[in-house]
Amino acid sequence: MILNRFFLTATFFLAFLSTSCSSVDEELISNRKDPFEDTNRKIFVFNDNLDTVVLEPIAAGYNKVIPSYAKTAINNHVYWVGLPNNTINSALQRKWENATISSLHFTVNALTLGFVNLLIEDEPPHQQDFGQTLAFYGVSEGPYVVVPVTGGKTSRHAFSEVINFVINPYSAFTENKTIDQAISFQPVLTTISWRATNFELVNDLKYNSLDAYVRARSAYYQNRFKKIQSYNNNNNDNNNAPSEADSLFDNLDTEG
Amino acid sequence: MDRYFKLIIILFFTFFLSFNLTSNTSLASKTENASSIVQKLIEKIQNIQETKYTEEEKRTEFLKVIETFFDMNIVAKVSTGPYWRTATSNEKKRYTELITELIADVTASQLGDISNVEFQLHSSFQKGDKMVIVSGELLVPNQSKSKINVNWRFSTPDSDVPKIIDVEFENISMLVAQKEESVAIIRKNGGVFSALITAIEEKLRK
Repeated sequence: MILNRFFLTATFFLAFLSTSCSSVDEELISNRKDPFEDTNRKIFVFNDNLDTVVLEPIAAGYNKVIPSYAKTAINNHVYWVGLPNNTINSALQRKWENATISSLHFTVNALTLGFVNLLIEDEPPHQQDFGQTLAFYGVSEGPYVVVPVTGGKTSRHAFSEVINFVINPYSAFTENKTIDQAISFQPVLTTISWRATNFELVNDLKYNSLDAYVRARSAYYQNRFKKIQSYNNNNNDNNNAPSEADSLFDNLDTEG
Repeated sequence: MDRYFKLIIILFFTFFLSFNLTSNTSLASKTENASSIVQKLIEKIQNIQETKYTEEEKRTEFLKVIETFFDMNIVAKVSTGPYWRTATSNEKKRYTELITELIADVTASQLGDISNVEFQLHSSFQKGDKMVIVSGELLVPNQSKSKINVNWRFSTPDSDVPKIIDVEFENISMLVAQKEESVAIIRKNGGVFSALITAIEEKLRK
């Protein structure tokens, strides 16, 4: 069952990559990391319309109707579902302490299926995904691709999401029909919860930017860069990790 | 001879210590100064939010805030990357005005209708010779995300008041994003700087 799901998703992903990658004229590329900008923009428009028609109204309703304690519970559950993944990736990156904390949080909070965070007083583990593991082993990030529905990311990160999808605590119970349905609902729940939590930030990007595609790509790369840098420097304090903004001011004459 | 030698040593250490103390005090005062400027900025925003302004008045007030607290010359220069050098002085002036208006508009739309915005200072530290970063959390009640991590980047020239040159929300630098957008628009239009000016004018008209 798990293997079936893996191959289905991987086939879909590879088929998407092979059909979507028509490159554009070098002169018109706004960023060297994005050689398939032309195709990516088309998928971005599709995702944007999908967001406007489906996700944005649902997220707005979700924020209005669901009480804040229930939203916290859902966010906790979504976070809990990602912990096995976090444990495996921390271990693969030899971050043993983080792997231990992550598995401890998963085991303890399993009592409530993650809806209640029983370890709220403790420092949460740092999130590590398979893309960060691949970065740790020196796999290059590859070109930027916009995937239908899930959005823009590096191809390394997009591939890692296939693996992340397979590693799910519910997978152990796939014989049970109810739990199988719960698995199918997981990505939907995660997406709605994420969109609702970042409602104003995403709307700002959509409606206030000169070029929403470029701003979304920039936001993605900055966030990802900081996550991977903070790991590479073994620096858990994100503020002290180098950011892309630092390089902007390298030769800046602030007096002039 | 021995006495003279001792005197030189004492003078050297006195000079060394006083130099170190002065530079440390100056560093501390720069970071403290930047933190207090952020608090003043938040107070200004709170005043605007609490006063019953029309949309247009609110926009004008935010414009004043941006002009006072931000170094728009640096923002304009950095946000256009290599194309700043290709612009005429009129284009540079017009772009600086427009980008100031655009930031004021966006700030007014994001913060104009919210009340009780607060800033919780976490740290303030020197970055390089002439920059300070003030880091903390913006507390925005009744929003989907009520705590937003913010870093304010200040230019701290010795001869002038520190001014904000970039704001990072949740690790995302607004200046980096703006630069990428500006460069993409100019590039798409064959390197013509005025295309960016037209794009911002159109955006502001909407």
